[in-house]
Amino acid sequence: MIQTLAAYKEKRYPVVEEDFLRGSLADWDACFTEISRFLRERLRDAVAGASRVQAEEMVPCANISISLPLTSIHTGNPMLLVDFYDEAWFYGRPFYRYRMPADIFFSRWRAFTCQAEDEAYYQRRTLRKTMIRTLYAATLERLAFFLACRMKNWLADIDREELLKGLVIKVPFYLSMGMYYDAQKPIYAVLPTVDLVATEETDLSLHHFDKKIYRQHVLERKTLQLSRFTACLFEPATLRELDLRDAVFQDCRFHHVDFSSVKLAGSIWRNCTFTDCTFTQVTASSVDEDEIYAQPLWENCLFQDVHMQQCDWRGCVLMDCVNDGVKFSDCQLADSGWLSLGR
Amino acid sequence: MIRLVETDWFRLVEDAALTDPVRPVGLSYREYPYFMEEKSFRRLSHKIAAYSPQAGMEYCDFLFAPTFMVGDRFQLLFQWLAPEMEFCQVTLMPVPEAADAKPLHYWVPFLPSAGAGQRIRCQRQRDKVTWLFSLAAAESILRRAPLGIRLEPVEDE
Repeated sequence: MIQTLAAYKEKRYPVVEEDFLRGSLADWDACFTEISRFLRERLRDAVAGASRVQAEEMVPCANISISLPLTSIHTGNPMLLVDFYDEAWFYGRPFYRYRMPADIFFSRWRAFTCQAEDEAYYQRRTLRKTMIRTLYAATLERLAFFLACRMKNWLADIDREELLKGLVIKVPFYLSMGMYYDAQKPIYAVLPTVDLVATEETDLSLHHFDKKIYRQHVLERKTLQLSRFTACLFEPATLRELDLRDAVFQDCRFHHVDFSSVKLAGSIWRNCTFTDCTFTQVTASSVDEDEIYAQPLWENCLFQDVHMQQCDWRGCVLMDCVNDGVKFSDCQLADSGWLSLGR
Repeated sequence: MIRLVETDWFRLVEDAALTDPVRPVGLSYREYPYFMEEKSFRRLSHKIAAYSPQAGMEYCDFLFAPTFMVGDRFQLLFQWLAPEMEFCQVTLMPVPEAADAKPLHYWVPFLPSAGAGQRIRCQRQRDKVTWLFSLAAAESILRRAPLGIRLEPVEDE
């Protein structure tokens, strides 16, 4: 029988915690559409409220922070705080706060605490429930990290007009998610326009590229996580050693493009066409990543005369795509939508 | 000037779920009154008292009797949250001595500007003393996984 908190933390708690975290992730994935809709509606309400304050206070918004306060779990009323800041962020006070009920994300919390405090697994005389409860803060921090990872996906293709309607923003503008007054993960941004080809910057995460044409260009060794490409043309082009994790491509065309050593975990491709393209050593799987990524998604895409070699396509999702000549050489396709995409 | 959102406030109370918390022995209510006024605080100096170690004892991060005390883990945090706060140390020695029982260090806090703190306030209403913490302060406390307390939201502050 476990007698000390140290022994409990080593032997029993990890099992219960992992079951809770993985179960929560699975629940969220099962309700993906519902949660996405819920978040968008609530964020619209939040932005509408902030806009009304802006009309009175004449203050631009440079940051929206979505945070999980531990106090809300502690008091039995889970919520997310959506805080709107002017330029004076991070340790300032917001000019508007919206409280978003968060029960939908904590459906397993009560069962988890009951399991964690189940006296069948430890010696009551030496180990108390109050001691076990000191382990919850770290678990909630991990859950908040998972929430932030998933938030990227729930808001993946939200457009600026939908998200920020009526809100006066100041560029650079960031939307982030994390613990209250602690580590935050950027989810969305409006940044100054940058020329992807000409810039010497290597970290171009969260940038938007709209109706751009990339001809005879080599784009290499850049981080483009959470970036968005809309109606862009790549013809021909080489995309080499790019980090495109969580990037979104909408209505883009790729003609005679070489994708080489590109990371694609969590990326979304909608209404894109790929003709005479090669993919070499491209990684779409997130199996080896520390962060939680959604499965990469190709929706309503056309693949014509495409060659894929030494690629890791594990876990890819393909919906309503057309295979008009795709060849695979030495690729990992386990649990991949490619397997069911016939010609 | 932009009107900013007012913070939420929380009162710090002893966790009713405690079974066998640390209780100091040898601290008088006269010397350590429930409400620590300035004149009582100024008479204090580093005190050595005792506690009786037991199996399953809850080594709380905050004590509420005879007066409010902050454990070593949180004293620096309180100092950061309220730089004007002063402290006087109390050390509790295990009696009887035991191989796995260590001295415990607590700090009696005194807040000179009792009513107007940005992050921590101490309120006295008749014979009741309440320590109040802003949302940011409460979050900082909870992030450090304290043992032996609850934070209750204050409706009007």
